[in-house]
Amino acid sequence: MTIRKERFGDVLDVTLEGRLDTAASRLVAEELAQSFYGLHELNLDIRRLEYISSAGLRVLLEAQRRMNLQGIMTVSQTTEQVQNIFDATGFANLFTMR
Amino acid sequence: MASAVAGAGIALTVITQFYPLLYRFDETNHYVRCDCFFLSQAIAFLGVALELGMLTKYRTSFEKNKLIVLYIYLLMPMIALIWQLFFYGISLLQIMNTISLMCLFMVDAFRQTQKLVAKERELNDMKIQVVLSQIKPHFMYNVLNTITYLCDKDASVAKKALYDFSMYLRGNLDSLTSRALVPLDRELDLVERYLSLQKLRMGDELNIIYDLEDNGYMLPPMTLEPFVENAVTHGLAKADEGGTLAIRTRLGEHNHEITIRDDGVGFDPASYYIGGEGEHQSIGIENVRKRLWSMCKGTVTISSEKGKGTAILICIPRNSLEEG
Repeated sequence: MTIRKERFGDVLDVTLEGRLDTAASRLVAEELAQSFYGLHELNLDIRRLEYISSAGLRVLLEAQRRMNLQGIMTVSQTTEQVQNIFDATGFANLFTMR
Repeated sequence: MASAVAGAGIALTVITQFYPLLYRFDETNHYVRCDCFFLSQAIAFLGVALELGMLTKYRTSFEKNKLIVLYIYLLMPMIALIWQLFFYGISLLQIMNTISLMCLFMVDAFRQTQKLVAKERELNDMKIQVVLSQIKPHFMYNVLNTITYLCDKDASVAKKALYDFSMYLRGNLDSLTSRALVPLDRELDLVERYLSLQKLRMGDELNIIYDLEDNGYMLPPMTLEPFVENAVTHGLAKADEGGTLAIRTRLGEHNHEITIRDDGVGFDPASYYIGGEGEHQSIGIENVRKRLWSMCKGTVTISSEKGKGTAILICIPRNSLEEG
């Protein structure tokens, strides 16, 4: 898993690349938790996310819940495999897709 | 003793202004020596003799060339003082003093040039060491083998890997030939290429976190890559289940801070530099440390614990060149 966080004031761009499995989800959750303070806009780039597990979905859901309280969150287009999972689980409707 | 001699000389000169002791001016306003003129020469002679004595006493503290020049610097005025006692008309002392000072200046200029040449040579040696440290046959063979395998399995991944590899090599070469500071983005780009190539082999065993809060400043080329490479090859690749490498940039009160942390096997800092494989690695690290300091007064702090991982903190003063 490759996580890239770039912060510009109260805007955070996060790129997730590779497989968001259970182990990687813990890592992403920790990284996001460190960055929520003072954040107004969170942009998730998952164009190169190859796989997402249920733990990964939970991390994204938690991020969306936090950002609902303090700002906005957008999610980029993603790979076909991940999009299928979003569609099957109904997550596609929860996110503001870019 | 030297103070007493100097004091006596000053006192005699002051007295001469009111009473013709050493010299006087005649009715036509011409300089004329008095009977006690030899005293002024004797005092100066004594002063120079004292300096000669000191120089001889501490001669072992000087280099041979410097010692010869200092002897010339003292002996020439001494000869002039003796000459002036017996001959009158030419102020030989001033001429001798000028020649002595010129000798000193020339030797000093020569020494400075030698120092510059030595520094240049040292810099070139460092560059050669960096070049040699970057030629890693194992890494190249591994990458090329992986790409060969990928050509059949996934051509698009192979294509990207080949592109990353060529950009990595090019970035390496550019960094080595560059003497100027480079933007952090360029350094990060080189690191990303390297890590994406390593990820081809290590897969999910290598997690990478880029946490970039501070950017837009300059640093010496090849500052990050050697540490990242050490973290992967000596920290994470040796851990049973791999691990995570995190590169974080923060703006501190006085410094731009870059942290490179891995949760790999770590090492014992106390035994790292004494023989063993650490000694070879430390040459590369010492090179980075020297270049950081000489190019932008930057520092590196390494902390590690066996079994827990390693953290590298690079600090670059905020007043160093900001990216234009």
